[in-house]
Amino acid sequence: MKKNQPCFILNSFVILTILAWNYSLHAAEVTIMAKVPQPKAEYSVYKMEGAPVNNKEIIARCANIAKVSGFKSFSREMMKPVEDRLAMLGDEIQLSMNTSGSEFFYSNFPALKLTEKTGRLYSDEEAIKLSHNYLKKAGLMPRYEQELKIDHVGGIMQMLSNGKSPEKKAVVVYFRRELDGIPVRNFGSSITVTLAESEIPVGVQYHWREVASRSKVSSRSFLNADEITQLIKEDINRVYAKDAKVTVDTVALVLYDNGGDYIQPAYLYEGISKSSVRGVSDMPVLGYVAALKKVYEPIHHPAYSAELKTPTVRIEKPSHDKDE
Amino acid sequence: MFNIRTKIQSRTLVALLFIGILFPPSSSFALEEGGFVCREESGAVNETWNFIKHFSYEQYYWAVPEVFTTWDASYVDNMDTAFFSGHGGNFSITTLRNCCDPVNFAGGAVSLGDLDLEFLTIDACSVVPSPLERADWASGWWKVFHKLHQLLSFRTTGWYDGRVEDQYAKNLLAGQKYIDAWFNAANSVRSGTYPGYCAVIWAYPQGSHPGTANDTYYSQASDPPYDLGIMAITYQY
Repeated sequence: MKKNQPCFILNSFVILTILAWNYSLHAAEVTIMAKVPQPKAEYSVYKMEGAPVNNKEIIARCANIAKVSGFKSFSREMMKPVEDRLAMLGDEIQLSMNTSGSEFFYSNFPALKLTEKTGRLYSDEEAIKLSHNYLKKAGLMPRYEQELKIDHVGGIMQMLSNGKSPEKKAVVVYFRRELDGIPVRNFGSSITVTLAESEIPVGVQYHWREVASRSKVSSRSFLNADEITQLIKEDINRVYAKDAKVTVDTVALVLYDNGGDYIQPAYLYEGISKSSVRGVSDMPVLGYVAALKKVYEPIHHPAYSAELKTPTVRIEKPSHDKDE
Repeated sequence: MFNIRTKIQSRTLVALLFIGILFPPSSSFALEEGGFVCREESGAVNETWNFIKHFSYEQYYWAVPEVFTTWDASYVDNMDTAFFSGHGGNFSITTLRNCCDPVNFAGGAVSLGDLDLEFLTIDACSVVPSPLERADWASGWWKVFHKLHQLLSFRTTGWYDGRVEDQYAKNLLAGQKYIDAWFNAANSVRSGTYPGYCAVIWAYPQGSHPGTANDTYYSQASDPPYDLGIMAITYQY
């Protein structure tokens, strides 16, 4: 046995060297240009309200939204239970709300004039004001209005192949959240309002729930800069192509909201993945990694959800391919 | 959002029968769905599955360029609604990781709609450039649109975890127009760069043809002309 020991050590060394070499071949080239900021402000972990609301209340809220939206023929019987929500699936107007009231979708996109000229649209400032008014009247304004911030104002444009310039069809106001002066990122706290010619939106996508309680976290609870850098590199290697060349330009401490039970501190990294293939676009890079030693809920890249499982259904090879 | 698969299918059947009796569509129903997945890309598997799982789909294949080009009569163009997920650039996709086996839509090898296809959704980055990206935004699509109704994709980053695709299918089955369903689905989870902004190329009204803007899963306009005179791009920013 003792005679074999040097041989065993040598074999192990060779195997480990091959594994390390193999890993380096299958790892993205990551350059982190940004410094990892250390927490300056006082951070908290927020436990969110999530108790189910009864159907009667959901229908009452939807009835009010329908009324404010000018949908006069709404009746409570139109709201039907489907999956985790109550929904009204009309030919033109559709609205639905989940059972905790934290997710609401409204669509009257047929009001967009895609095959005729659009009349006067509201300016960005007017659209922001109208969106605020609508959210208030519809009972969708957050309890603490100061938490609601403008992320940006965008729109929907259209151009014809024989046209001279694009035509604006709608103004879109994107709202996000701020808690204790710190930006909340990811879709869990976001409201999108689309306005065409009318002051009544043609579309609303609403994700919001209120804070039930908060617990402060000390600076000792945070991971250090080296640990964060390592997490970012691992995340990029997990998510992006193994032959990608990724440069991270910014790293920021934010609050992460995946629509779950908590909003918690996380590091947001952003940059670019350069493609070496002709015709394939460079890809903007954005991801989240944990900031705290104790993670309250999984924090992950937007394209890789822990909640959505990889399907087990077999994907076929095209039969022509088998003949080749 | 709207139900488990079996319920959706039975509801869809009832809705189809109802709509079919009262309002016969001017063209075929979008009844055949196919999912085509970029090879060696697990994200593309999730995205495609989260769309196709809502339908009693006919095809679910790993993508190779030929399903869009030389064998398209058996694959993409043999469907009514086809969905691809993978990597892309202006007028192009790759069918193997983000490097290899590309399909260049602007090159003339892809002709869609001449057999059956009405709607192609390409869930990939930057495939449909808008006038913001390039003045010749239409140039890559003239030879692709041979009776195709709509091509739905992204003008910026088209990458998410399956929620967009899940919501897109639900929106379609709820009767939303294709354009609305796609835009609403991306809006429902947008935060920052991900998912990016959508862009849709479609047949604008021309001659006696009313255009395809109002097409839904259940009812569509008749096929547009083989050679389009006017196409439109509708896009988010």
